[in-house]
Amino acid sequence: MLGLVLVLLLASLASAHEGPPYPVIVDEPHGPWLLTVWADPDVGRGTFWVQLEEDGSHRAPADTVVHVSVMPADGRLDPVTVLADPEAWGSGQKHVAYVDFPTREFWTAHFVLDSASTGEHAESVVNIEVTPPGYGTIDLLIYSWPFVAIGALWIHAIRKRTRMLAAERLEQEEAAAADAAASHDG
Amino acid sequence: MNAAPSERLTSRVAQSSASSDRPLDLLAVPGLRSLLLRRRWMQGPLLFISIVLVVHGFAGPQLAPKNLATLVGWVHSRGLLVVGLLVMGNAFCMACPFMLPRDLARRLHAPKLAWPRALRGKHVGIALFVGVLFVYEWLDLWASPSGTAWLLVGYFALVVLVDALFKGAPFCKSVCPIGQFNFAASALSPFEVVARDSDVCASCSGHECLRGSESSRGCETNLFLPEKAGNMDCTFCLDCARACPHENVGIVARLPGAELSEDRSAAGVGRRSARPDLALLATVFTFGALLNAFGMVSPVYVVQQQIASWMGTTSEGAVLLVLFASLLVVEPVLLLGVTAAISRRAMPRREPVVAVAARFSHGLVPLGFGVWLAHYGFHLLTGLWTFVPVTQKAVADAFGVALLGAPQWDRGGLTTRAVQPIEMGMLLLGAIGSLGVLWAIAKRQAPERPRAAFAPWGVLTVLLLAAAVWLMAQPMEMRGTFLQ
Repeated sequence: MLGLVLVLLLASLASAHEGPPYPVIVDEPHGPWLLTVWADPDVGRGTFWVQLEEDGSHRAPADTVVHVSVMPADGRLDPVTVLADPEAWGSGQKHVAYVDFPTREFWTAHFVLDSASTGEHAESVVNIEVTPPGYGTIDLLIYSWPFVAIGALWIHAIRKRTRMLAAERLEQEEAAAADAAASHDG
Repeated sequence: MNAAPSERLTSRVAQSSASSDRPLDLLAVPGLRSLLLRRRWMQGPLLFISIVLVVHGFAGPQLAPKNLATLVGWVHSRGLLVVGLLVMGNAFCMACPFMLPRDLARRLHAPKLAWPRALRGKHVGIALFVGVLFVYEWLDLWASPSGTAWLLVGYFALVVLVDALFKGAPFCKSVCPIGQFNFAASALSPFEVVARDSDVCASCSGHECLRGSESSRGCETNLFLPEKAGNMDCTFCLDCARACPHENVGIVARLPGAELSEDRSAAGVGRRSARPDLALLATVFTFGALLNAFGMVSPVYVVQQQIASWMGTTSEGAVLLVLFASLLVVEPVLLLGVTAAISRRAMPRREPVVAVAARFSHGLVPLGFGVWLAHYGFHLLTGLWTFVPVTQKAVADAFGVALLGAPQWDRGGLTTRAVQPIEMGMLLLGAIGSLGVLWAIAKRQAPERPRAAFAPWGVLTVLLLAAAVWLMAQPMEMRGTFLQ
């Protein structure tokens, strides 16, 4: 129980910069666009999901193009720009961009939205921390030892109980046999 | 020679509490007893939450991660349900919100019919359980707030309909798919509702735990407490504890999983070996866990495309039907059949392969529970606080004022990095439990050659564990987030 409580407490401390994708921009209005961006910035390959939702006052033009540029926050490298691929997504639009993050540090991500048909243009910028991806196999094996220890105790208890029940059963059978023999003799 | 009923009764209770001298009894903890016996404080809030989910599901934003129906309904409730089973017992059934409208309906219309004998097993519940899994994948319910709301409404309607017409608790015992899931999983729970003192039961003539008293109804799932063994069919409603005039009912700590290896005749349930429907439930529970997790990972789309091109169809329902038939029928039949055929060679009495498979299928339940825990635990822990901004937004939308503050969209949960070891640990623990239970079954079924009887089942467990580890290592859809 204590472990469970600790885990839940830790959850509130964990900022969303490490691990699963997390929102970096939510419901930011830009002209016809209502912009939401989720990021999974792992060292190696990072992913951005750019979502353009629709509501009463926002309807993304069908020809919307999304570019994502990333560069280290300290500006020591030139920005790298990729075109986000549109994907089918409910009633709005979703564009997915994959970028390379060679180092663990803060990076600046720059999102540019354009529509040729309407001439609309919008930009948004955020800083994000790029972190290593998840565990390797060896790490997982190391972290599994508490579970193995509990499992060993469990197996021990099951075996003990099995032996106890078998002994009880044998005792009952012997008693029944003795009763039967006594009644037969009588 | 048969023992007299009173001796048999005493023996049952003695066995039930024989694991240690004074095990922890939750109903003996000061303050906790009155809290647990008053069920309404749990049911009321859950009913309120259910109504909120339905209303938000229909009227709220139809984007799943911004809707409480899909978020709380699929991410939080399922995770909390399995955690409850892991740390205590059938906690969801104890707090079941469906019981309030059901009890109200029964006041308006007392049931008069008896539940048909042909439907008394678990088959209806198992079919509905598989049906829910199928519809969940087919209609993408996790991404459909209104679909989820309709499912909840349908659930309430079915409870009221069944239990307003039929006496007893046929919905809980035979129909409810969540209930059947809970019954199967609660074999791994650390607590069980039992009679505290066998002597008190032996001298009791009222049998209020079953028949009810003036102040409380008795067990509606027909579990006569002195002869009850295990958590099967026990909803932890504690009607027995309220009805017992001797305060002889406890929620007592026990060895998780032990009941799976035993074959005692239990009140209201009978012997496991005489209940093929329970073996079917164990099988569907275990292989359904793998199937449900498979539906979450990227390779499933490749498999679906292959099936679709092989069938020459674009119908997702038809493809899913083939997938379900393969993983929930063909695969278990083949794996359990072959394993049982090898295992039975070590047994003194050559039973039919089906009977051997049925006996040992219960031993796979711990692994199945490990998979459910890893899967639902992943969603719960990685999306733990996501309900906060969604609730804040729902309240702001409903009242026009941000009564709970501006939505804190950065509220997430544990990182994947933190959750991964827990996931793998749960799988490992489940597999270890399965090995222990299967060994105990092998000892009972083949006392002369337990190792030979156990070995094929051990291999099968390791294979299923490997499949589960592979599944959990795949990129999993972040359901409950914007990325689904």
